[in-house]
Amino acid sequence: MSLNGLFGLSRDALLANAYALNVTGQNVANANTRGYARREVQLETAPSGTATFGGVRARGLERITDQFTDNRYYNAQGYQASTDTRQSSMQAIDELFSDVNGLGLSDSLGGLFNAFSELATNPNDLTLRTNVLARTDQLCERFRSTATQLTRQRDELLSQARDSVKQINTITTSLADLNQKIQAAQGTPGDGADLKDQRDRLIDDLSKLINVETFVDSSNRFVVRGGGVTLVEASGAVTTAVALDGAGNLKFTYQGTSVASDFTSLITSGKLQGLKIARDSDAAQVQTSLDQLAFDIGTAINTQHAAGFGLDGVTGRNLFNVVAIPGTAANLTVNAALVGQPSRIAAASTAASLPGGGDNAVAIFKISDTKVATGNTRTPSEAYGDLVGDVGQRGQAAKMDADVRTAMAEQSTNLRDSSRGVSTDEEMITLTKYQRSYEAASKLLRTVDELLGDLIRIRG
Amino acid sequence: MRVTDSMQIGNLLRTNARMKTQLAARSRTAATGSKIAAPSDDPVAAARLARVQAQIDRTTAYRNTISSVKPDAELAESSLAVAQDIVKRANELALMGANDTVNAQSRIDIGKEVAELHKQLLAIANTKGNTGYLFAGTATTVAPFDAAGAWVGNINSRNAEVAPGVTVNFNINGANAFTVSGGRDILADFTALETALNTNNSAGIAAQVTNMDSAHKQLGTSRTEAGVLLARFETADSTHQLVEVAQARTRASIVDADPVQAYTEFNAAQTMLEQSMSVTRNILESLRNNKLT
Repeated sequence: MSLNGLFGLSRDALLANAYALNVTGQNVANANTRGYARREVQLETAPSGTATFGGVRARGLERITDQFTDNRYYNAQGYQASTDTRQSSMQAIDELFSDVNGLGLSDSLGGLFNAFSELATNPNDLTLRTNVLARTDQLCERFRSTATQLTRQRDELLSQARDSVKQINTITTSLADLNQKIQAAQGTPGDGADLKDQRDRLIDDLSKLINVETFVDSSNRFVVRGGGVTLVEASGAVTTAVALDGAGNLKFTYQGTSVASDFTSLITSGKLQGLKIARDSDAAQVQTSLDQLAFDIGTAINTQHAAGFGLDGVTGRNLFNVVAIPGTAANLTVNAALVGQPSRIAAASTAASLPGGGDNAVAIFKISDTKVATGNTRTPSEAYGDLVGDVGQRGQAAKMDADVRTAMAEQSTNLRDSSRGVSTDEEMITLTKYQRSYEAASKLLRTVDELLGDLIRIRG
Repeated sequence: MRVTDSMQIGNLLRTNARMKTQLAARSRTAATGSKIAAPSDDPVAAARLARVQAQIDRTTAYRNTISSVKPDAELAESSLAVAQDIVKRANELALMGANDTVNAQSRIDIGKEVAELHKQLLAIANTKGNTGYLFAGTATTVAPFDAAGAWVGNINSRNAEVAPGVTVNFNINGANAFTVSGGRDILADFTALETALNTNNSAGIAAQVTNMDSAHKQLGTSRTEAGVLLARFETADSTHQLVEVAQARTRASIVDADPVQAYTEFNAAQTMLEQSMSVTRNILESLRNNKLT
């Protein structure tokens, strides 16, 4: 190799190390950027024909990623999002049944039975009768407000499902677009690395909404599967939608070029699954149990009340207006015929025992300890206890699931960060390494220059 | 395993968040003294609490019922005691009037006192308590005896549940106490005594001596009923007081946090958060300074 050749060698070394310093700089700059995968420079010997003095050149860079780790991470993110969504929903339901401070249904239920017990001692007392009506109204209001909160909760979850589906569609459209750009960038020195970061970030977001799996197919096309179906394939994406099925439950569909298909049962994690469990299992079951409780108590009291007599001597009146399940709790009201008419409360069991007879009030009070609920197997308070227990179990299970899934998500996040994340300590060492190489290449250039200078002086 | 910056920062953030959540829960328990804020804190305890609360409500209802009806039962008992005294005095007057040495004018004078006693007895038979006329059955709004002493009440019983499965008739049957249903129509006997005294009818006066004696026993029987009723109320209420204490203890065992344990756990959580924050400070410091210069 001639001295002139050394100039070329130095130039290549300076260029390659400058490129490496750029890549290191990018790593440092993006140490905290979400979705960023650290880069490694690919240096290689630049062959100079058959000579052995080839220089160095940067072939490009490599994004440090691992498909297995990524898919594991997406999986964990999905489960965490699912359990978090469910826990958040159950927390709201949980609070509706907190009776520790006597503000829940239990207090209102006890208050009504006790009002009848007091009425039995002096059925002709209008104050006690008014108290019974007020307590009845309070119980109805408590049932209605709890049912309304549950309905609102379910509506809110439906809205969230709609928003999530919109998000999925936006993400899949962007992914399809990115796939196209990445395809075009392939083979360039950067290899579309920044675009791939963007794509990973979007898949990360998508994995929190629906169970996601990614792979490169045999035709080298990047495929994103979500909810068990192909959502994105190369530059094509399907559209997802949510609607309510005949039973009022969430139904998720996807549509490519053909007709829409139901893929609800294939959604196994992500926010969509959490919303489905929270809305169609937790909230729906609690709502049904609440309706059943309202129906059982309302019907039992109505039957007894209708058997009694008001101070006006009239019998056959119900205390509540009870509609059939579903919607019993949400529509429970005081019988309109009794509103503002305390004298119509049927405290007496016979017309002959008016006005001081209170046997019917006693009989209504006794319902509090009679198995009238859940197919005549539970007392009202036992049935309410069962409902509270069920809410608690669901809340606790949701919390425990969320804790476990959070821990697993943390592990997979750490695992993924460990392989693709930036360590500024490492980068500082790398930076020093390429800095020294660059300085050495400069020195080589200076040395060659000095040698040539000496040569020119000798010859001149 | 490579330890990257985002791993370190992420772990610090998650650990601190977890510690803060734990501290919030512990501080809530220590501040409120309650270990159940929502059913999910302890589902079994929450379900049990709902059932225990219903039992507490029922005990409260029983005690309220007893305290509502007991004053009237006491009033009935004391009214019947006064009625017995009146009848006893009438009996004495009848005995006095029946003596052949007493002349017609003296008998008229005795009759005047009997008439006064008659009025008093009528007023007692029509005694009104907190829940209406005591001896009227369920016709609590109408005096059970009219001005002439005729019975216009009914014999329906007024009932209340004072303990689980224990329903008691808390009114005294006025017909049994004062009318022929109980043996003698006492007010009519008073009228007959008055008439006999005013008409100087020795045989009629003598007949009322026996009747007044029977009337005294008749009122005594009813008074005993009232006494038995009061005793039942006392017994039931005493039992409820014990039950109430036991139920309150059960509720406390379900809901109340042990203050020492709660405060200790709160302190432990606070210490753990402080340690976590200290570790965070140190790691952040090392991330900031520990670079090659």
